[in-house]
Amino acid sequence: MIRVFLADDHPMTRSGIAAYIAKDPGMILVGEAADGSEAWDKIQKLLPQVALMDIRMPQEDGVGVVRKIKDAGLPVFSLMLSSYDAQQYVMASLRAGAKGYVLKTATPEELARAVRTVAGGGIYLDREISRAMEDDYVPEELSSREREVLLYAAKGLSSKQVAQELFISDRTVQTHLASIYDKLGAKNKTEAMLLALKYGVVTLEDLIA
Amino acid sequence: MKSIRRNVIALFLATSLLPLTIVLGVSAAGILAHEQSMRVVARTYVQDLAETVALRYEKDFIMGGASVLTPFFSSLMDPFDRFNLNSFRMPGWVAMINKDGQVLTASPEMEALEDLLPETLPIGSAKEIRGRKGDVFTVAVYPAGKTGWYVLAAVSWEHLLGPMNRFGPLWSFMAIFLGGVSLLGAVLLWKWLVSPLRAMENEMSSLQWGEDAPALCNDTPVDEICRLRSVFFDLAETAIEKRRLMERSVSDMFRIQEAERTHLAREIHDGPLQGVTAFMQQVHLAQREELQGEHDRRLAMAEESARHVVRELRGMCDALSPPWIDLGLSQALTELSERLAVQMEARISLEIEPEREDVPKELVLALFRILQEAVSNAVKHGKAKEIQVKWYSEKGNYIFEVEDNGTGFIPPEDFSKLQYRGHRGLANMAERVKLIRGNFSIQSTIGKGTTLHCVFNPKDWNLLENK
Repeated sequence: MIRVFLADDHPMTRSGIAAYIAKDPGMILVGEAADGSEAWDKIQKLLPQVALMDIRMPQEDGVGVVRKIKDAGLPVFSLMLSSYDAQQYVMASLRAGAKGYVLKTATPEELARAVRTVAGGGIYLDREISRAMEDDYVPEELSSREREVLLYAAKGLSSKQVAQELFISDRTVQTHLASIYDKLGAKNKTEAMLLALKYGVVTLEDLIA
Repeated sequence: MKSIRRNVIALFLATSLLPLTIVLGVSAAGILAHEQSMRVVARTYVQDLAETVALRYEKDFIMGGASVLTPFFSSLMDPFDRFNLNSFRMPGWVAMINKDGQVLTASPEMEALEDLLPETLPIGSAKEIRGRKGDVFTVAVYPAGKTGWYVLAAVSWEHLLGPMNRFGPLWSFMAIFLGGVSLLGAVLLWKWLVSPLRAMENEMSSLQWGEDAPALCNDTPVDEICRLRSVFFDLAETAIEKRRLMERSVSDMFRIQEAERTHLAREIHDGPLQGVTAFMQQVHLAQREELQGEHDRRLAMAEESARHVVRELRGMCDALSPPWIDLGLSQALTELSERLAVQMEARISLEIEPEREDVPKELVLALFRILQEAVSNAVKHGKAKEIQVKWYSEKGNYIFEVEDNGTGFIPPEDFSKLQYRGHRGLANMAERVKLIRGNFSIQSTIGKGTTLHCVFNPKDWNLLENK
């Protein structure tokens, strides 16, 4: 049984998610919170395996709580639960220490898969965020140079800066990026990073190191 | 009638320099003409004198006989003393000279003139010579018949013309002096009036209205120029202030717009978005439910969520722009006060007397917002339980009044200052009333409550609708 904690300030959605968890025989809801600080207090005591965390909450937002969990080194995997589908939110959550990002409109099965993936040490990203690809889609492998370019880009470096780091021309960097987007089916840098994570092309540690 | 504009230089030339030139020109011509006429008079006189003496002398010579000198000496013995040059009574002097120019006899004053005489003298015509002290003489030489002698006659202008000679130059000095004074006046006029005026005109026309202000009064000694400058300065400052206000209100507008949008996004996120999410969750659960009872319960919960969302959306629409405002003043305010009473948990009484059909929509909307804000302030800040809203007519005006029994406060003197301290509410109400040409005032007593008072004149309503 996976021990799950749920933090969300909207009673209606909270009760819906709680019902999803109750329905799943592999999970058990060990606690609930309606705001960020309540969540942090309870998580410290309950030490759940997975903490389902809303982003926008009173007192303290979900990303802040996730960062606290990571900084405190608690054995808790954080899974963001949000109404927002902005990729920048996803990146911010991952950088703060979240292991997954799932939308509140996800089906019970999707939520269960997300919880299980995260509890198993994996990364889960909602398919509405990293655009719909088959979950078992295996992308063409990135060359080691492309991987390097992607990792530098993930750190927020511009193409010019990446070019300087790798002693290659700006145009070569652009060519590599185009090839990366093509292989992963991404439209921009953030999506490329998220898809690379999803397909296991890069690890979260690599990406946010 | 078409008026012709002339520039200040033309006016300056026409009124100052031109008359001055004419005066000086006429004066100069007058002086020359005067001199000329004096010369003519003196010449005529001297010629007549010389001719007369010459004729007399010739006559005596014929009557007297041989000796060259006899006529002269015999004339000395003349009982009438006609030829005694010493007792010559007419203005002017005479002398007898021979053909070599040697003076034979002369009246005493003539001696002083002897060394001034030029080498040659024209016979029969007159000529001017100038004395040592600048005095002028006219001399003329006439032959004394066949005697071979000549009569030299001279007259001093001073003797002959007296005051005319003396005051003639004085007059010209006066004219030149006056001319000089006028010229000085013209220079000062240019320096103090014409030139500063033109400089000011240049400066004003290069100003960017709403950005620059002209220099304030410099060291000009003309009071009117100084005052004109300060008038322009005030106007320009007003324009600058106006532009600043404009910019500030535009930036306020953008800020408010952004704040509105943020607020709206939050409302949608926390309200309908969560509601629809909950709806989807219940549908998901119902789909996966095998027990009929559980299935129906989930569907009922989904429906409840949807109903909730509908209520929220409706509330948001009402808050954004209530459609029932179109029903007119009475209905709109009634609807609003009933809703507010429920929402804010206060008793609101509303009296609208007399009702008017022609209240402009702008005014209804403004009163609607003012009532909303006033009730919210009264309940939130003043903890009011009872609110009385009145619309009545008084002395041709219409009064809108909101009175509460809250804690009251000390009203600010200047509402516009409030908005910089984050209290937009009162400032907005005041602005709003001003925009629809009303008069806003507020009375509040600590412990007793607050009364908002708005006065409107129906005469302004046409203007509102035309806007």
